[in-house]
Amino acid sequence: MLAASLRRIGWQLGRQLLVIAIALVVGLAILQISGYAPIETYQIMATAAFGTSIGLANTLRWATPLILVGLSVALSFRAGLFNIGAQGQFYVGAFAAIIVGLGLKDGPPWLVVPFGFLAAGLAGLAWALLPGLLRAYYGTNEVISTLMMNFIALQFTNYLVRVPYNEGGATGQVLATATLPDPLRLMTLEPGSELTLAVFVALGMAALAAVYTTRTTSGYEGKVLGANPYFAENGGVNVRAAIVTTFLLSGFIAGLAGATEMFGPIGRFIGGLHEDLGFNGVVVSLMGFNNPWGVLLSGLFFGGLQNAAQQMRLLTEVPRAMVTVLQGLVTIAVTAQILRLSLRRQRRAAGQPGAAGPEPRPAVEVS
Amino acid sequence: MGELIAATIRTTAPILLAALGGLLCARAGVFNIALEGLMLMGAFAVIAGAYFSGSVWLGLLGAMAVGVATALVFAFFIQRLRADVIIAGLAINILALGLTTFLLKVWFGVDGSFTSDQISGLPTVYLPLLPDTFFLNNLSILIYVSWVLVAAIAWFLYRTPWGLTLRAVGEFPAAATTAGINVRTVRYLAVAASGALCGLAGAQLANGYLTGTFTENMTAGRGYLAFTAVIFGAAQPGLVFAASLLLGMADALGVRLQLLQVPIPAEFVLMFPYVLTLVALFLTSAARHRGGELPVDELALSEQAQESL
Repeated sequence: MLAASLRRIGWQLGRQLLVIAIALVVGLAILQISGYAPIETYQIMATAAFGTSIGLANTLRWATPLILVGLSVALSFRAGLFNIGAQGQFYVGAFAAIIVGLGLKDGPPWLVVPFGFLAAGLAGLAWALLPGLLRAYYGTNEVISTLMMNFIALQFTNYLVRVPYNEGGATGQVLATATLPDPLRLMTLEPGSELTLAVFVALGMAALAAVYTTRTTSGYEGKVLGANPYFAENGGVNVRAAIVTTFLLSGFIAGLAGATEMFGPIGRFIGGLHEDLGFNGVVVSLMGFNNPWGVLLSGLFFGGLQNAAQQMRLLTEVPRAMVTVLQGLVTIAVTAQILRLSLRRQRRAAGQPGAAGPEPRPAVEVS
Repeated sequence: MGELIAATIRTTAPILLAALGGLLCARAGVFNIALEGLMLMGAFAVIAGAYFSGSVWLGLLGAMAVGVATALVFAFFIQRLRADVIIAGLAINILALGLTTFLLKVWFGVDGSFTSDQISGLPTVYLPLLPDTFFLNNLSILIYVSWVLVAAIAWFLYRTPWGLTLRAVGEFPAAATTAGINVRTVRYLAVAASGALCGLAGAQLANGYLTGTFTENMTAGRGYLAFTAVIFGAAQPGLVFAASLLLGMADALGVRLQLLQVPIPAEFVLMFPYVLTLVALFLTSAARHRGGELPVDELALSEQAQESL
C-alpha cells in the first residue's frame, strides 16, 4: 500500500519535472535565438528565487497567494467543476479586507485582522455562490458564469477604488485605496523581504485542505463526484449539495488570498491588482495534480518564477516577460494528455486496481 | 449621439472579427477561449510585419498568418495531445502575452509600447454614394470587411454543404463521423479560420483603431469580450453581431459617461454586458433543464451541452 502510493507520487513528480524540463528547453531555444545566454539566464533566475535567504523569503511571499488560489481551484477541479472564478473571488475578498481594515483601523489588531480575514473569505464565498447554485440546480456552464463573475468583480472593485475608496493625490495616476495602518499589517518575517506571517495562512489552508480531501465525507464526495457523477449519485451523494459546497469552499479560500495580500505585503487595494492570479491558480493546481500537497510544491515553484520576474530588470538584460513565456510553456505542456497516458500505462503495468479506470473527466472534451 | 455611434462602430470591429472566429469554433464544437491570445499575436504581427516589410498589406497578411500558426498550435494540443480545451486556451493567452511583450523588447528595444510613424494605418474606404461626413463613410477597411463577413458566414453556415458539415461536427460529432466526415480535419480548419479572423481583429486594433502602435497586452480582455459575444449570441451570426455591438457600445459609452460626468459610473456600464450574458446563460440553461432532470445528467452530458453551444 505504502510502496504503491510512494510509487504513484514518484511518477507524478517525475511527470511534472518532465513538463518543466520541456518548458525550459523550449525557453532555452527562444533565449538562444534572441541572442541571450540561456544557461546564465536560468542560473540568475534560480539564484534570485532560491539562492539567498531574502530571495527565498520573497519566493515564499509570492507563493502565498498562488498556493491559496491554487487550493481554491484544486478543490473545484477534483470535483469535476471547472470553476475559473478565483480571480473575481480574490478581488472581492481583498476589498472586503480593506473595508474592514479601514473601517476599524483604530480597533485592536488581534480582533480586526482575523475579522478581516473572515470577511474576505465570506466575500469570496458569496461571489462563488451564484455560479454554484446555477451549476447545481440548472446545469449552467460554470466556465462562462465564473468568467463573467470575474469581469463583474473587476469592474465593481474598479468602481470602489475609483470613487468611494479613492485615495487621490499622493498616489498619482494609480487608482488605489488608502493604505492599512501599520498595527494592522502582518509582521515581516525576514527583514528586507516582503515575507509576512501571511505565509502561514497558505500553509495552514493547505494542511486543512489535505485533511478535508482525505479525511472528511464531504471531501470524499467531491472526489467521487469528479471521478464519476453517476456513481456518486447512486452511492447516495447529494449531488446538488456537494456542488454548492465545493463552490463555496473554493470561493472562501480564494477570498482569503485577498486578505493575505491586503494585511500582508501590499496593504492597499490597487485597481486591477494581480490580474493573472486566478489563471495562475489554475496552472498551480494542475501542476500540483489538484492535490493540496502538490499545490504547495507547485505554488513554491511558480512563486519562485514570480519572484525572479520581479528582480530580472536589475539582474539581467533579458526582458522579464521571459517569465510569462515560461509560465505559458509550462501551462501548455502540462495540459498535454500524452504525458499523462504514459503515467497511466505505468500504473496499469504495476497491476493496481482501478488503474485502467476513467480519468477525471475534463470539462470539455474534444476528440 | 452621432459621435457615440461612430465610437461604437470603432470599438465593435475588433470584438466582432474575433467573435466571428469564435463562432466558427463553437459551431465545430471547440470552446475557443484563446481568442484573446490569437488577437494579441495578430496585433503584434501586423505592426512587426508592416514595420519590417514597409508594406501595410504585408503586415496584414503577416497578422493573419501568425494568427493561423498560433491557432494551429492550439488545435494540435487539443486534438492530437488531447489537452483540455479551456486550459490550453488559457495557456495560449499567457504564452501570447509573454511572447509579444518579450519580442517587443528584443526587436524594438522598448518596454510597454511601440509606435512608428513609418507605418501607415490601414486605409479607410470612401463610399462615393454616401455623404462625406456620414457615420458609415470613411471607415477603416476592416470594419467593412467585418460586416461583409457576418453575411458571408451566415450564408456559409446555412446555405452551403460545408456549413452543414461544420454544424454537424459541432452538434453531433458521432453522427458526423458515421456520415464520413473527418471531425478532426473540420475542427482544425475551424480553429485555423478563427486564427485568421483574430489576426484581422488584432490588425484592426493596432493599425486601424490605433495607427502603427503596439502596446503590451493591448487586447486588454477584448478576446474574452468576443468569447462572451459568441455565448451571448448563441453562435448565430446575426445575434453575435448584435452582441458585439452591445459590448462595443458599452465600451464606447463607459468612456463618454466618465467624460460627461454623468452620475452612472462607467464601471457599471461596462459591467452591464456581463450581467446580461449571465442572465441569458441562466435563461438558456433553465429552459433546457425544465426542472425535472438531476444535475448529475448535466455533469455527465456537459461535454455535449458545451459543444452544442
